[in-house]
Amino acid sequence: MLPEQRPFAVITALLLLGLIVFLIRRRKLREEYALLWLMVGAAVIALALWPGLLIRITHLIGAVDPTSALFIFSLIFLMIISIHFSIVNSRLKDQIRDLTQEIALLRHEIEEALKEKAAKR
Amino acid sequence: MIEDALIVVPAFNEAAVIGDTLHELLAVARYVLVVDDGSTDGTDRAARAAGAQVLRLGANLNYGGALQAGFRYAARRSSLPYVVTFDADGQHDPAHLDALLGPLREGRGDYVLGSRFQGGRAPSLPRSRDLGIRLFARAASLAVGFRVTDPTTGMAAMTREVSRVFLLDLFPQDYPDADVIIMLSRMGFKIIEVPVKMRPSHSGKSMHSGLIRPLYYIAKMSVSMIHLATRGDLREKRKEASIAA
Repeated sequence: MLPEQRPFAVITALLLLGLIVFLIRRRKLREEYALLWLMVGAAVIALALWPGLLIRITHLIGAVDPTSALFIFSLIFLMIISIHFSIVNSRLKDQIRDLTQEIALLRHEIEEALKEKAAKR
Repeated sequence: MIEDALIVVPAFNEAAVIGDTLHELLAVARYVLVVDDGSTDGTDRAARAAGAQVLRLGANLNYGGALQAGFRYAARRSSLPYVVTFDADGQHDPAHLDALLGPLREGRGDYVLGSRFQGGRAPSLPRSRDLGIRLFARAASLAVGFRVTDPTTGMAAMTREVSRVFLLDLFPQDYPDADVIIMLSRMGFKIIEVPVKMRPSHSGKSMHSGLIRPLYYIAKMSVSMIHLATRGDLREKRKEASIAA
């Protein structure tokens, strides 16, 4: 990374971290989902402050250009987070199904009970 | 009069036709439960006026999700030995109910499907639909070891135990199809098909129309079938379902 690119990377990472913390405090984001994003912010700061790290990772995975190493990891991260969201979605869908069925049964029971009560009077 | 089975009728926006369907149905069966799948046209009122019990779902869960609500009711609020699924749109003829329940009463099967294609030619279906049905019928037959001709049928009768198994998360929320047959067969249930005649649907809407939807459905069903055909814990799941209930 060129030295003049460093401030931009650090500022972006800090803004991201700030946004995550803000969202958690506002209860707009639950801690378990924030964790992944906090890790991303920390990783970007680490990479920006320690240029040798990216070079080392680039060699480690056999990439030629540090930029491609960066892109690969961004892609992998986005993929993981998409899968994570699909899991969350599936679970929510199951829960909504269970709740909807349960509510319908309860409503029916209440209606029946009221009908019985009215008949007794 | 059929008094040993709960007839579950899932309905989504069928207010115009459900009255006739229920009238016919209630003439031969005592216990009829309509599951209104979040309709916006007053299907629930029409069903109640016709004299059926009604479960009203607050959100549209799709066909399988609505059926499941009926199975929950069967597990929780009814002690009848059998459950039958029956379409609201007038396609199904209540005259076939006894033929469907017969094998259950005689202990010859646990899950009885009413097939359009066994004996007698079926009403004409759209091409893509036809292809899908044949494809999945072939796959299901291969997996369960006997010839299944109409896995998509909405007309089926089952024992109480099968209806409880259908409360598992493995039951599809859209359309139970060949995947469910494969699942039941691998759980050790006996599956039978009996011929039924179906009438053209009054409401004329198909579940699988268009170009993209059938393709999506074929892909989704293939994944579901492979999943259930290869899963190793289905016997345990069967036990789990009977304990939970």
